[in-house]
Amino acid sequence: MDVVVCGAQKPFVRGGAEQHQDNLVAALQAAGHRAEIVRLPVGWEKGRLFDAPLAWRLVPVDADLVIATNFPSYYVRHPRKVVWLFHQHRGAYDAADAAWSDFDLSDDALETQRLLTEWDNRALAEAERLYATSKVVADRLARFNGLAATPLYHPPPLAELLHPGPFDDYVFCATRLEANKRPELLVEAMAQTRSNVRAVIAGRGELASALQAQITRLGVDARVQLAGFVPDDVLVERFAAALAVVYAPVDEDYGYVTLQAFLAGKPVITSTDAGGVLEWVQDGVTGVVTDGSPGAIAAAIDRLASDRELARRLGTAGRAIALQLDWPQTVDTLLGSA
Amino acid sequence: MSTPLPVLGLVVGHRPPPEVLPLLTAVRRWCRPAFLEPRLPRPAAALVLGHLVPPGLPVDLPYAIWAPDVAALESPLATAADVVVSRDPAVLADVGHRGLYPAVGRLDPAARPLLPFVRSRLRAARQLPRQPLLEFGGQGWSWAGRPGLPGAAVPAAMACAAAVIATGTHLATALSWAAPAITDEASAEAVGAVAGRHVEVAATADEARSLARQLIADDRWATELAWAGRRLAEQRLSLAHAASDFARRLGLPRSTPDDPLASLRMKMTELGTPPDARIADRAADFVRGLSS
Repeated sequence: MDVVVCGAQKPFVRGGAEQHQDNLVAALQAAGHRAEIVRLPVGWEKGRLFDAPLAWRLVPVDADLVIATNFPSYYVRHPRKVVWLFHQHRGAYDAADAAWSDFDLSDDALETQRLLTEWDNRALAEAERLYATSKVVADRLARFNGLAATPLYHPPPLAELLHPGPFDDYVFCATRLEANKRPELLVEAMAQTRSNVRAVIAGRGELASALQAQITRLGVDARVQLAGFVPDDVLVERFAAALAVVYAPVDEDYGYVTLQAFLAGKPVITSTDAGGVLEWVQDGVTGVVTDGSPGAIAAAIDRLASDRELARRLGTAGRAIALQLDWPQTVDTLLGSA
Repeated sequence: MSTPLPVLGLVVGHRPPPEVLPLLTAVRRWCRPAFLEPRLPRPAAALVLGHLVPPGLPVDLPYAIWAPDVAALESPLATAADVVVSRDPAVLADVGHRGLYPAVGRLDPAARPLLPFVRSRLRAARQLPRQPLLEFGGQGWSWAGRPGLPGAAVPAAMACAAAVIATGTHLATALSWAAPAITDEASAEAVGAVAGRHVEVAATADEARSLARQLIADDRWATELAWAGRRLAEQRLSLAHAASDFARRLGLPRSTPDDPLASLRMKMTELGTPPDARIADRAADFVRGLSS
């Protein structure tokens, strides 16, 4: 079968969604199909929000089946459209009141939200099957749009390389250094830990300078390392030797870091408002769910530092769960052959 | 020169039943209805009446069947039909997603669907009560518990109420606005609404108010009901939507205008875009200067 995976492209930005689309194409090809990605640029500003969806309505895609992923790629028109929803334009929905959203209570913003909801509903309803990457995404779709999507999970990037290892003296955090990922919580927590555990934070982003300043201000330079970008082979080993992984984003859609930690056999320390992370992390079973305060995160770090057997037990449970995720089964479901 | 329209082969006896005539007129944007005859080229799809297999009907042709009652469903022809057109509630209930109601009429274009989360933001912007109920009763309309809402204010109230208690024709109006609606059994049946799916049904005013309070407190339930109710309104009250649905399900592509702006406008209309939407102006900008 010829399958086109449709995605949005923000020039010069590559993150989880792009990795996911690439991995999906690789999985389709591994299953014997011809598969390619089609991406169109997108502008997120309210005044240009409908431009890319309209463009998708015009684009001819010659394939047996299309799999549309993130906004606004699901506006593609095709007689066999399957949607595997990564996310909608959250700035118009659940994040409308976030600092980074340009939606206020003006008439213009309200009508844009109203029309976007209608456009999204009609475009998504064209799909022969509607899936979501997580229960969190499916729940948002139900709450804001009244549509039902089936959660369909998949392995994270590097799944085939991640492996368990020793429980060393550092906690690891691999994430984009952006506001919604809240890397500053770990830095703050490290100023409150009583154990001599270190923290290694890998990733790049707009908060890098601010984080470094925070580290210096708190006097934890010797214990918190901003590793910046790390290549995949180093990333795999950092996961493998960590005591635990700290990952407490706000209302995450899915959370690759969680599953990568699990595949490395590591417990995850997270927060009650982490969204999709909580579909995997169960307190006392596969990790520690805190209230998200630096003090609580620090206490969780100290607890695992003093009880490595607990860390191992939680990590082993997480790994067993993550190993059940399977690209061939995911592909079969998307193609309707499961 | 535009591409010729595909043919919708008709196997309906000498005259189509009057119930489908408006639909056959409306689908002319997508196809050319013509009586099916063996000597003519293969049509793109067919509309069949009855349970006799029309001679020469290709087995892989998408087709719809007109089913006036459940007896018409007893044939293999009905079982294999891609679309079952009927006004009979029992038929529509039996065939599920294959059913299509041949609507007559049109939705009020001013009734734009507003789902609950947009409604709540609209109320916040206008400093209205946080969760107002719009209710039609023996003494007319009441808003947020206060009777005497003027008729002229009802459309605006329909647009931003957290829930609406309405019966009769007022129910159809509420559904058109995608208002989460509570009604009585007769009103629900009259528009083909299913309790728990398109509306909630109450036997008394007190029960209706209790259901309304529960609905208002549950965003997910309210939103699912609101959108399903709006889609029902489109399917049951709008000939344009019925025709579009009919054509789409039979794989009849809409004839695309040669003019690029008209083509863009058609694409936007399919998504429910009002003609005065900003994106409509931007679309005109996009193609300006591309043709003389």
